[in-house]
Amino acid sequence: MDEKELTRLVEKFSGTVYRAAYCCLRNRADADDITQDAFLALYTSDTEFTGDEHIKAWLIRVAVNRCRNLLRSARYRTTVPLDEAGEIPAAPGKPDSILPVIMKLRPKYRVALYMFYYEDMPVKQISEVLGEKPTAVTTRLARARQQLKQLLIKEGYDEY
Amino acid sequence: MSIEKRLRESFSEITPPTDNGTIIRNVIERAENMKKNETRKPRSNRVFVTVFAAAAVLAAATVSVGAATGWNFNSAFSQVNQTVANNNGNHSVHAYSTDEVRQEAAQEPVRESVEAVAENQFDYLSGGKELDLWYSFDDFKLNIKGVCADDYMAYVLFDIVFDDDFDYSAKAGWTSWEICTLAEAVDKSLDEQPELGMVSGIGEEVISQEGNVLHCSVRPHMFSEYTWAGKTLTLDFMSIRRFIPGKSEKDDVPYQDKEELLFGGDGLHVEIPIDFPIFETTTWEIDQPIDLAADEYNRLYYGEELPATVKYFSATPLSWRVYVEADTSTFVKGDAYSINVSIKSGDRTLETVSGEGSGWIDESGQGEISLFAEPVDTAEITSITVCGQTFQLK
Repeated sequence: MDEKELTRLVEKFSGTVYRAAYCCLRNRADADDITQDAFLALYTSDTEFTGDEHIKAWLIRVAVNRCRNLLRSARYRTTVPLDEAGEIPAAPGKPDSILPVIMKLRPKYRVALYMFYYEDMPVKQISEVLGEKPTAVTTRLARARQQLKQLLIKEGYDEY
Repeated sequence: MSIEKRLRESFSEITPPTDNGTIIRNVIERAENMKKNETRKPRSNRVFVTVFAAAAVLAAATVSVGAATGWNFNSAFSQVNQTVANNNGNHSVHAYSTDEVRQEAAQEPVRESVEAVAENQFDYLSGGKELDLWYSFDDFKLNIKGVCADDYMAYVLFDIVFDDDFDYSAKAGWTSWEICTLAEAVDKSLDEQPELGMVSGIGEEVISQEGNVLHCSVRPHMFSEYTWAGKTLTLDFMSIRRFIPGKSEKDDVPYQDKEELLFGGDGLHVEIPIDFPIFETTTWEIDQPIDLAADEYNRLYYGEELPATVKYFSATPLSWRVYVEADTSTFVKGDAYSINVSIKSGDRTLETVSGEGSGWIDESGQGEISLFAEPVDTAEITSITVCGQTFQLK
């Protein structure tokens, strides 16, 4: 891969990869690092891709896997829940934003919702990215929606 | 506004802090540095500063010497134990050798390191036995090396030895090898086995790869009402697989193919009698109330008050189990509460499990079984803290 192609792909997918990483980690700095790691892996990979959708899925998979490793690390297991509470975006000026509530869900639910609703990825593709069975993804999405609904009601969001 | 639209708009608020130009520059710079490092003469060892990393180096060195002089049961299991526990994110200050011993041993030549380990190492054979069973398949051989067990967990170590003409090497973008096994416990003294089986879960890991050899372990867990003592472990080895990105796709989406090796058409069925003395369990009855909402995740997801009872804590030199029953009036079927646990010997922390991925209780009310990062002397355990509440153990 040459620099021109890297530039094109960063411009096209940096937001996608960063959002996936942020949904996992809820930490801007770590999500930023993971994004660069994913593009470095892409740039140095000799994988033959069949198209941009293939590259996008590959990047998300790399990012999510690295996030999983980070979440398993001692630092995240012992410090993340409280330390990062302040990092949940307040979304000033966007009264309809439910991002702070989404970010209270478990990482696996946040990522599934992100890929399904924002990236419009089919369940089969999400299952391949996450290395899960499609039925597991479907269940996860259902539980994510259910918990999101409960949280929205609890926190007084209208018109759910 | 529909929830779907609100979800989409909400996710769009997440924006990268770094501009694309900076990402591109950083990636290119790091790639160039990687190339430069690859062309340099490789260094013999990295400098490890943490206690665990030093221990891992020591274990690896021990195994390599063992390979030349014969297989070493204790060293191999020590490496498995350490790797599994580290992968789980646990940490401990163990009871059988000091940090100083490990660090000193890691700095000594390999043979002295082996001797240092031998003097301080926990004896896995006191609750296990060597097996050295060999099975041949297309492209590889299976070598079941040994087993040890306590009441909760049988702990099998095996190697996959790829044939010389098989391309087992790792390549960029390829996933690591994964092992797929099934396990069950059989009580030969019974005419009928329990309807739902006795094994509650199974852990399987590829610990490391040395050339054409994958070092692997599989750890079936028992439900709390059963013990491995006197049972027969039945293992069905199904497949070894890894995923390879992007080949032979017919549409634009698929990005990984599966490379899979099979243990024969129906898998390989192996029976391992646990007919040796297993590690003993020490149990402390607690029967005290706690509030699971002291855990951040539980509070966020399930509510401000989550009454539960810590029924008992038990431990063997290899593993531990805390049994917590949640108040069924607040328990939502299908959910799983997090249990943060810290186990201490005086002021020393033997084990801490916390945050997401820690132990869980579900409908069965049973806490997850966990491995100690290194074997402990259960007589030295003095207290356990569950979701912020400490219980002294006598």
